[in-house]
Parts: sequence; structure tokens; C-alpha cells
Amino acid sequence: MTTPVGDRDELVLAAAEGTLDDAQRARLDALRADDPTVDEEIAELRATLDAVRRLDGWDEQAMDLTPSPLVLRRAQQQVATEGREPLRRGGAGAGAGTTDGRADGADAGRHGGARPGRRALLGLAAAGLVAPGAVGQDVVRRLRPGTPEGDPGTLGALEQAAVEGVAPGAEVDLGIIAHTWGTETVWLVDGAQPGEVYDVVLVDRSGGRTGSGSFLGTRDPLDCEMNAAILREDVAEVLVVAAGGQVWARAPLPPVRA
Amino acid sequence: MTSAGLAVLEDAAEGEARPLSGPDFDVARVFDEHGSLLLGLAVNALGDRHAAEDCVQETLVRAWRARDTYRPEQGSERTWVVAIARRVIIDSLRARARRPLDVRAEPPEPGPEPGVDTQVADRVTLLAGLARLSPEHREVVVEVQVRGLSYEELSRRTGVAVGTLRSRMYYALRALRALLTEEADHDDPRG
Repeated sequence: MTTPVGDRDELVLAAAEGTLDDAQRARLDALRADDPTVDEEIAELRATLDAVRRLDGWDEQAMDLTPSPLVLRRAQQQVATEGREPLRRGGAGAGAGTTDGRADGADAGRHGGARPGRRALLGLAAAGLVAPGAVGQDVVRRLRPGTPEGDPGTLGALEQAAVEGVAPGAEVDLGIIAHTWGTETVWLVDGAQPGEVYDVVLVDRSGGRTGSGSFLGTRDPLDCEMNAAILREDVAEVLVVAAGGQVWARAPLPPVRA
Repeated sequence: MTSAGLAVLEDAAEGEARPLSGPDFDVARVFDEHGSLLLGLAVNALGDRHAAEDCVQETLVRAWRARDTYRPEQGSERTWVVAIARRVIIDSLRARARRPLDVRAEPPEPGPEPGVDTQVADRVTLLAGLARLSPEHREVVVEVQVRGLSYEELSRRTGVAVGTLRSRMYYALRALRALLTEEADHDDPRG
């Protein structure tokens, strides 16, 4: 006896769903005699059904969303930085980018030799973008409109950090954004020595240091964004280190809580 | 630095944001072609738009890093990118589970139990399979198997005949199973 294709599909599905009636069961028994693979297919569909039925929901509207262009831009910045520098896993900084995506052309990855200098280790890719305007409270928030504020460690949310020990005559505002891939720092700096190189360093709770790129001091206030391959929850402090090695500014960060 | 990375640098004009990927792997193209799928999957897995966009970003970066490992003969680019996204999302869920983390005051939290970890990975893999079904196939699976509608109820709601819905269910489940098998085969992309 031959079972029509559509009938076979219906029987297999009903068997997998457990909804066979007596007539269907009889037809399925007949089908089994002709097609020994039918039981295997029923078992496969049943396993798939069991998995699907354990899902707690599905948001179909999410399938119509389009990622923000910022997602692409940040990915491009990160890719650009890694393309410039030797890939370092497990500690060193992921690099830096400016708010408009420009870089200064410095290339740590091209520094030859077995022992790159401190700048190369920290990621010399510098960021410097002049952004005229006064430095003051909440300016970092205004630099990232649309970014929600959140508690320390909240993925994608802006955390305002308190900057201490800034050199006389300088002002520094700092925002922190936790990501799955690391920690982003958003800066507005006024009073850095023009042309001077400043390294951004993230310090973990055991004192380990992760470089997060560098920026050049400018005469006017500058804003920039830096990325580092360390999770926010592991960061205890953010430092800005001047070329001479002295700490130019520091921002102790609160621990991340549940 | 990889030779591909050096080539990208060599092609860059002075002072210009350099080309962001080689000729065979363009981050912007991958974003355009797969970004919505990746975001939809991540939102469903994480329930958080911002975290989901972080995952899309990380997926693009990991895909770029691993671009030399992609083999078209082993599967579509979409399959490969989704496999990377699954790993990123699973990493994100694991990181979320690790909190709170004041390591000065508290001993390190134990990692999740292997069984729990597997459940997380299985759920994300299943969501990835669902995300890749056609909208018609996904609708019948979600409405009947996840939300518990009867075929008759769904038929009344959509105007599609019950027989057609059952046929869609059969082919949707077969397609889903094939996707899950395919994704298992791509379960270890270097990302």
C-alpha cells in the first residue's frame, strides 16, 4: 500500500504531537510496514517539539528591529584598532577611537622589535577631537545623548565617574559604559598639555593594569571614547598617565553590585 | 598583526579612517545583511535591547577576527555568523550570571553548574534556529507550540486553513531540526 505524501506528513506530525486518532493510528501502522524510516522521523520531530515547548516565549517584533548605526560604527572602530595593533588577549587594551571615528595614524603594530615600548603595550592609537565648549557637570551625559544612565556594570548604560587628583588648571569629565566585550570610557578633557601624550589605563582589583589607548592634549577641550578588554566589574580605577609616568588624573570606580 | 591587517593598513590613505575589512569580508555588509537577524535573536535571548546591540557589535568584531576561518563550502555565511552570535550571547548570559562581583569582599562565585550552562546554550541554539525560520513557519511553531493556541484558533486568527497550518508545522519542524543540526556542526567557530 502506498501512502500519499501529504498523508504521510500529517501522520508523522500527529504522531510526534501525540494527537493520533484511531484511524490515523491504523494508517500509520500500515505506513510503517512500507517505510521503516517513519519512526526515526517521528522521534526527531518529537525531540524538536519537546525543546520548542520548553521555551518561555518569543518576541516576534524583535525580528523587525534594526541595529543602531552606532553598533556598526563601534564595531568598525574596534576592528580598525585591532587592525592597527597586534592582537593581545587577556589583558592589554582593546584600543581607542575618537567620537568621529578618526585616528591619529600612530601605529603601535608597526613598532618592530621583540620588546615594544610602553606606548605600544598600552596601545598608542591616539584619540583627539576638538570639541569647543565649556567643561562642566553632566557634559559626558550630553556627549552621549540617548544613552541611558545606569548603575555601575549595567550593560550599555552610562555611569558617571568622579575624577580626582586632576592637575591644577585642568578639568576632566568621565563616563563609563559596561559592555559584554569590555569597558568603554567616554572623556571630556580640558587643560591637557597640547601635544603631550596621555595614556588611559584601567586598573583591576588586584592592581593589574590594562591599557586603553592614548590621546594627545589639545588647546581646546577634547572629547574621545576609549575601549578596553576588561569587564567593568573587574575595574577598580581609571588612570590618565602623562608621558613622564605620573598619574595626571584618576577615577576610583565603585564595585559592581547585583 | 595578520597579513590581512597589514594589507588593510597599506591601503589606507593618510589620516583617513582605514578600510575596515578585506575584500572578502566587509563588516558593513555583514551588518546590513545579517544585523536585524542578529539583533532579533539577541533581544529574544537577552530581553534587553542595549545588551543585544552590544552582542551584535561583538559578533561583528569576532566575525572579522575569524574571517579567515570561514569556509563557504561548509555552510552559508549566515549560519557562520549566527554561530558566532550564539557564542557571544551565551558569554553575555554567563557574565550576567557571574554578578555580583565585589571580589575584595566576597569569595569568587562558583561557576554555573554544567547542566545549567548546557541549558542556557541549548536555549540560545534553539532561539537561533527559530530566528532563521521563515516568518510563516515561525508563526505556526510559536503560536501553537510555545503559546499553546490550537490550530483552529490560529486559523481563525490568520485566515489560513487548518490543513495548511499543519503542513507548515511539519515543514517548520523539519527545517528547525535541520538548522539545529547545521548549527551544531558550526558550534566551534574561532570567535
